[in-house]
Amino acid sequence: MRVRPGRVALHLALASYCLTSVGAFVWCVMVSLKTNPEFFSTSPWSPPVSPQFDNYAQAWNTAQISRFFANSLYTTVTSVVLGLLISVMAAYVLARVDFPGRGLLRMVFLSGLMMPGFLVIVPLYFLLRDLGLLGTLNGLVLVYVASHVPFSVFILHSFFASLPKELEEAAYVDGASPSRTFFRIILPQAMPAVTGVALLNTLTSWNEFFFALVFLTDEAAQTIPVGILGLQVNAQYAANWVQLFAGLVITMLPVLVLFAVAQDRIARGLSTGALKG
Amino acid sequence: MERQKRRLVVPFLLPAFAAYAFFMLYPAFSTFYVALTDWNGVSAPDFVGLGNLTELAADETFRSTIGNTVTFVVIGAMILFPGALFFAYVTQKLRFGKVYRFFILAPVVLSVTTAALLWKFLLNPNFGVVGVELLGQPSTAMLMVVLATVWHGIGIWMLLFAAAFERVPVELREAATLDGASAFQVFRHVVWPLIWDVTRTLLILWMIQGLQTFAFIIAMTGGGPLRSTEVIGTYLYGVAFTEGRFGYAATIAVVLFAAILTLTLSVNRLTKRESEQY
Repeated sequence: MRVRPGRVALHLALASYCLTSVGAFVWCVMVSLKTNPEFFSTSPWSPPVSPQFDNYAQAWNTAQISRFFANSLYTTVTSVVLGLLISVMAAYVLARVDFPGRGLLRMVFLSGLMMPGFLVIVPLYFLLRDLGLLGTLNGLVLVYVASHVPFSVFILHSFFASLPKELEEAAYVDGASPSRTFFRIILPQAMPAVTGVALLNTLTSWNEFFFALVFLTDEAAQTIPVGILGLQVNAQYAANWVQLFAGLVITMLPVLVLFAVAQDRIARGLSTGALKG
Repeated sequence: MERQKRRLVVPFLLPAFAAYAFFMLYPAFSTFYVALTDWNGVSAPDFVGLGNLTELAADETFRSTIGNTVTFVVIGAMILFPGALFFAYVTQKLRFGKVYRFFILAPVVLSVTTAALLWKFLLNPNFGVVGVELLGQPSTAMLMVVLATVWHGIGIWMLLFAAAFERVPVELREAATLDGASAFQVFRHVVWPLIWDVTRTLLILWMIQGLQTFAFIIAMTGGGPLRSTEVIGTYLYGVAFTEGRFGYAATIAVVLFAAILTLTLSVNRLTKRESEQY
């Protein structure tokens, strides 16, 4: 085996790029374990003198990271579950039942794929205000559910359309009602597609920023992406940077764990999702 | 059976349609109406017809935000596409290729604000890792925002290109190599023509996303310094929720939407080639 200089250069280039993402994480963790004076006086790359794990406790309790967490969790879980439930039913009917106006409805649902957030933001703000939902997590959940519908219906519709007809026919012969057939036979078959869409919608909701920034006017009801932005402003006033970094690390962890566990799935899901334009 | 199944139509469709129509379709259509009014969100909207549009055409700030947005999209594409193509191509059969891919993709899982703040701190001249002011200078601020955005998202684009490469038949590449073509020639004359369709789609996708760029700007620069990173999205946000000029903001939204549609259609037409047959 000869050593080829080209190969070595390639590995060096790739490895040094990968170091930027590793370095960013490591740097974040190191800062989060320093004291504030230490943070200002030592080099960014020097390790903490004595690790301050207390920063994490403080970030979790006093800096409200725990609250942002709970808010993000509630918003994400509720919107993904509700959104999938209604999208799965709609996609099934659009794919498998022949009724007048089906083609038009498909078009209407699909057109939602081309509706960027900025196009709806102004009227939506006032709609939520008039409903008394501005600044509440439930208002945001409703918006997320609605914005998940087009994409979820689009993906699930193509899945249902590819299922063999025999499944439904066999159930019909056995005397099962259509809704029973759907929930007992079709839905379990669709689980792989449903899980894929669920993963994607989870990532989308968890990281959604634009709607959350505009609609969550009350600090008590903020999700992580908006919350840490406010935290950064507070850190600037209080010069409490280490706590902010501890907060950043805390918010990174669950997603990183999820990513490590489900890397292949997410990678596949992301490529489906990114191609939705 | 078909008749029985029809009974599902209304109960199964209604919830999804109601949610989508009420919170997406209806607001989207109202935006077009609001764009024709002067509205502060408190008193009744004042109908001004195309007045907002004339004002927008003469709006100097808006003009510079268009320039900044285009800069973002163009510089972003110039870094993102060669980068993603390179990463996807060289990690295909390389030892540790999967490991490299994992780390290139890793930043994607950070929320946009986390990634943006990370970069903001890394670039802080006082306690970051670069001793010079890069975000605080109008000449370099936009480039930094682009770099952060690309760093965050490049993994996805790499995976999409990797998926495209996998669809190129191995025999074709082997045949070219046997004929004495260099690795680069194989890429240029065999692989590249075959993935052109995917590249087109991704270019359009990047344009659609790039024209709406928002989160990284808000978290890293807030549109500064001296509005040098103010883009259409952040301008719209400020006009609506800081200045309270909702009619004018809706007009910006409609114009941006029209621009995205027009660009998508024309780029789609311009880049259409005879599709290569495998």
